[in-house]
Amino acid sequence: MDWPLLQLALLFGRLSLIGFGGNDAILAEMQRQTVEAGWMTSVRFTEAYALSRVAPGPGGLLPIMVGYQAAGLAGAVVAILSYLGPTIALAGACARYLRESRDQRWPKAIRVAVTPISVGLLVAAIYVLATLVIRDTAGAAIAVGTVLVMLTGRVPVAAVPLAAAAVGVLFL
Amino acid sequence: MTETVEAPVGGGACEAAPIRESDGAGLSEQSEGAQETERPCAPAHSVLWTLFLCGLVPTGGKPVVLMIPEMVERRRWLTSQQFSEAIAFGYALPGPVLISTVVYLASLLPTRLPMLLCLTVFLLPGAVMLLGMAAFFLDSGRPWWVDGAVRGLGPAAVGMLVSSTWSVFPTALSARLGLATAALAFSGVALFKLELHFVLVPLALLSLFLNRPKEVLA
Repeated sequence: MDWPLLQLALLFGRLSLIGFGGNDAILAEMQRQTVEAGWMTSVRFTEAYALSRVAPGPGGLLPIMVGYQAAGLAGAVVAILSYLGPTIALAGACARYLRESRDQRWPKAIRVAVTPISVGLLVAAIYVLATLVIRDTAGAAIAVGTVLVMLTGRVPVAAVPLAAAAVGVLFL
Repeated sequence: MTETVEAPVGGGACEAAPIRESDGAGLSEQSEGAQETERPCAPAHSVLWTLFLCGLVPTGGKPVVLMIPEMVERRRWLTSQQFSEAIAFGYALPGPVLISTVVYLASLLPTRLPMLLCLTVFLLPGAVMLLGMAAFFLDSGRPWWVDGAVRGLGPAAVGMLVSSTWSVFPTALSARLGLATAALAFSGVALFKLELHFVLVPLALLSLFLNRPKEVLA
């Protein structure tokens, strides 16, 4: 099938509906599908993910970059609308129901239930991305340094990737 | 965030998001006969401006760190309990957590603004910025220094993922068979390279059954 806009709509619509635990939890699947479709190399996908963390706003806007690489501006628009559309519709309907019922038992139960799956998927994403981009001591040092800085919580989150980019320009 | 603090001003009570006296009492607690008090609408321009700023400032993909001080502590449009509920709501639904969270928050905000307008204003700065980045950084004819920058960004992205995982790990352990479920999800996707839905659907059903609310359990 060589209709990138349709492919983008189907891929991101599906990821939106099965992506419990947020954007990062489906990162490994998004990377696999994106590379298989020939829109990006694995390394380029990882770069796009890192750039999406530098940009303002929520992290769930990564499909814009994938869509742009696949089919230009139209691809970016189709990808993000396909990704956010089902979530917005579902969340709007559920928010209305919850506001009326005030029943918080099931949202709490679902959160507890899906978190272990999210963690498993996050570790999968770490495994996949790490094997792609950490190939030498310098890369490992940047990754470990990022973890340590993030866990202290004393540095603005957006400053971390910017600092890593500066290290890359100067030393890599 | 230089705008002066504005208390919600007149213009009539909002139909959406009445404050209940039970708010702040815990997720599952809801006192019988909780009384609702009406609150006036927040000015539309203040709501939109706040959402725009929260979407404009880079936060590493986590604008919640701006939304809580601005909406809960400074402007008092929401209680911290309502914000916690919104985040739990975001995690309970498929798709980007923050989008679901903002949809829920928009339904609680003391304003009559349409949810889609709130969401658009919130997302627009990041979307435009990412589009520019995609055109500049990902094209093959990029300048030399961009290659160095993205070589540094790749490992940093891995580090940020590790940090995100670390923060939710305790919650995963609190679920029944949480560690085993996480290990199965990891193995299915990373080692056996199964399609995500083949991993997710059976594990989600199993985990939901194991962690269903106590009332259903009884």
